[in-house]
Amino acid sequence: MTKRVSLFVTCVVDQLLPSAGLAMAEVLARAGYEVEFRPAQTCCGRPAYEAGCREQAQLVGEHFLRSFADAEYVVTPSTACATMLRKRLPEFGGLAARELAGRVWEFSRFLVEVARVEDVGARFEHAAVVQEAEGLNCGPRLLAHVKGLEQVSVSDWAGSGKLWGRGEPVSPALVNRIGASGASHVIGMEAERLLLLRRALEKAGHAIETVHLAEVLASR
Amino acid sequence: MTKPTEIRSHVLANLDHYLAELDKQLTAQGGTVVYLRGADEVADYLELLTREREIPVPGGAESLRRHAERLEPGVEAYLRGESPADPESLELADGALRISAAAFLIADAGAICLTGEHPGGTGPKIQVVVAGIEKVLPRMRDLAVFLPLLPSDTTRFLTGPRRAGELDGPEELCLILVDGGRSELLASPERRDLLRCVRCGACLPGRVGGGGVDCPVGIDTEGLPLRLREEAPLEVGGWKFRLWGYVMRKPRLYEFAGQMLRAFWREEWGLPAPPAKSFRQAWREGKK
Repeated sequence: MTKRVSLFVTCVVDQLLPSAGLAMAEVLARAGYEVEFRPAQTCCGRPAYEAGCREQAQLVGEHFLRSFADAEYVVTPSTACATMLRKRLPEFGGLAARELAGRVWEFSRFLVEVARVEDVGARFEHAAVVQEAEGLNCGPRLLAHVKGLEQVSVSDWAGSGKLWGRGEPVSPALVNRIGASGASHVIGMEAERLLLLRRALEKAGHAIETVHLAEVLASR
Repeated sequence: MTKPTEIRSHVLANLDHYLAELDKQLTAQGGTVVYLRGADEVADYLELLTREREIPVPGGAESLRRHAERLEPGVEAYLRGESPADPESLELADGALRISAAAFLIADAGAICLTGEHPGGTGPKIQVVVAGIEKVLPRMRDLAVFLPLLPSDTTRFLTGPRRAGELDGPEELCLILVDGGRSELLASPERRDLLRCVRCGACLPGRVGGGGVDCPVGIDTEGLPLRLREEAPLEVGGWKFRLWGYVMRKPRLYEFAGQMLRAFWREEWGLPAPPAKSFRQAWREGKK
């Protein structure tokens, strides 16, 4: 029997980086899952939560709960949103919220820990800088199996930007380090940080492409 | 790190320990310690107390509620970056009951330090003191560091109800320790530092050295409260997040808002312009 996963693409990927969501769906389908997208979904509530507006975060969390209550697995391309849901849903709702929180997975961790695949058969023939992951993320383990990928390291990811809460721009020094690294691509694990970096690279005039982990894993 | 900063950080990191010590000491000295969640519960407690002891309250329960809110403005006051002076005590029925706010609580001595109080007289029959849980200091000698920081010049100490042979002091002493959102603040690494505040007022505009230059307990008064002040309206349900929350619960409205975002995208939002189609649009079309 085919197992089913429900995508939670997050508001940022839905509106600003749909390619990452589509790539994620493709990788999951190749890993043998039936992939569904529930159009009732919107946001996990993190923008409000990080601004200190718990009340609205809870209301939006409750909407998430209604949208995904009976989902077997909820897979999302964002570590930060997965963490928000795993940690906060149990505070916002009853037993159902607690149970659903445990079925929410960040995409890379889902592949490694639930689907038990590390080599997804991807080929990505570029020299790329891998954006440092925040929190638990299995991106680096998955990328190790990507054929043709040459990883370029950049030291010190301090100042890599923040979108919600007290927003922070990407530090120009970091942009310069990436610009001088010789890489043609930056691979990001988190859409919002990837987008902030994309904009900063554009503004600084660097011709470096930014792609989401899912897009790399989907490429052949 | 300056001495006051060091002491306050230490207290916050070991708050449960010092609250337990304070409780043990003050109780041993004949005081009562009550833990309440917020101003509402303080008001309920005061109402019950006055009713039980048959103390008339001019203005009734409503005035007790207002006073409870002044005594315990809750953690919102910190988040708004306010440093209100400790409110004046409320005295009822000619000294039958006095309700005050504490400036500090001293764990090792089981003592309550009140400022801006007029000592004089034998004191009330029942003294109730309301204090946020963060008011505690480890040792009596820490006051030498902190009292000079406060704007008030009169200080009074309470270490329990009046003992045999003592000339003044209340017959009953009750300390109400209020959480009021503080433990949640304590759990937030970004905001915890705010609880180091001792309400010295150095950061208030119009004061000598004011404007947030020299916070004696090392709070980033320039950055943190300013940012929090901007955010604080959200905390109590600012219209922007109420609107956002409404939209995020209505998927159709959310999709429409996304289209508006595309149609009226602005450079200065600091993100790359969105692609023509959202994920949900692309998904729908792909499934057709």
